[in-house]
Amino acid sequence: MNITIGHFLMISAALFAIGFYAALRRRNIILVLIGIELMVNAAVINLVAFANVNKNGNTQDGKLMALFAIVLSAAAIALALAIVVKVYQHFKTINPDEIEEFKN
Amino acid sequence: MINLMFYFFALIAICSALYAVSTPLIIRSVFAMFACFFAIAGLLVFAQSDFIAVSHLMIYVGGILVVMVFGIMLSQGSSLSAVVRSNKTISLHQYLVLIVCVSVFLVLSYFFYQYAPNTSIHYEGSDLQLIGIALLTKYLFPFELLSILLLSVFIFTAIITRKKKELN
Repeated sequence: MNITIGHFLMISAALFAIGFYAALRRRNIILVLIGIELMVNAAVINLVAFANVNKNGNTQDGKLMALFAIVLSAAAIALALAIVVKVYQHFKTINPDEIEEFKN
Repeated sequence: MINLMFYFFALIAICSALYAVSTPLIIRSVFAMFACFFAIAGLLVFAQSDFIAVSHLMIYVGGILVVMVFGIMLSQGSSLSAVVRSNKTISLHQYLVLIVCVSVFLVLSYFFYQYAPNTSIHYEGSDLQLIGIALLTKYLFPFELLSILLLSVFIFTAIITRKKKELN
């Protein structure tokens, strides 16, 4: 049995659901960020898998979109972790349920 | 043999992702994500994209996870092990989240099973040359825009995390 695009899509569906669970359960901000990373990875796997559909044009569009998505998520995570560090310095906790007010 | 390795990578990716979101210790989940990202890079090689796999390894394992370990060090105080609080008020929320996520997985896998194109994937050599040409011709402007965005993000990150004394 050959490896088809459907295999990659199934794996990405599972990774997306796991990341969604981690992002929604919000026990810890860093765990939420890990969930977001898993969802981005599911999207990257989808893009790279669908880049193999169009054989005639021989385009690299899907792969380059995946590369751009990886770089953008890296930028987002760097900024988010900087915010996490500042939130810890301010509130002394990074549990999202305990951070109640953003005033002052 | 190749198929066996594909399923092996898929198993590692999904199992380590499950462990990462279910373990109570936050540092263990970050180290499980190391395994998950290695396995995902292996899967990207199976999807005929070596360059994306290598850059995935460099950016995620070499960059993001190391930054996450630093973030945990700076935000957990002296103990790396996060204390698990078993609030009973959140348990209903957790069940709801679990149901939502399982239904998301079922819906996604149903649509993928129904509508995925039945193209089988074979490895046909490296794609490095084609990606290099595409990055410097068709995608030159997004490439440069992305590099400027990354530079500005890193500068602003350094400004945000600076001590307050220097800001005054």
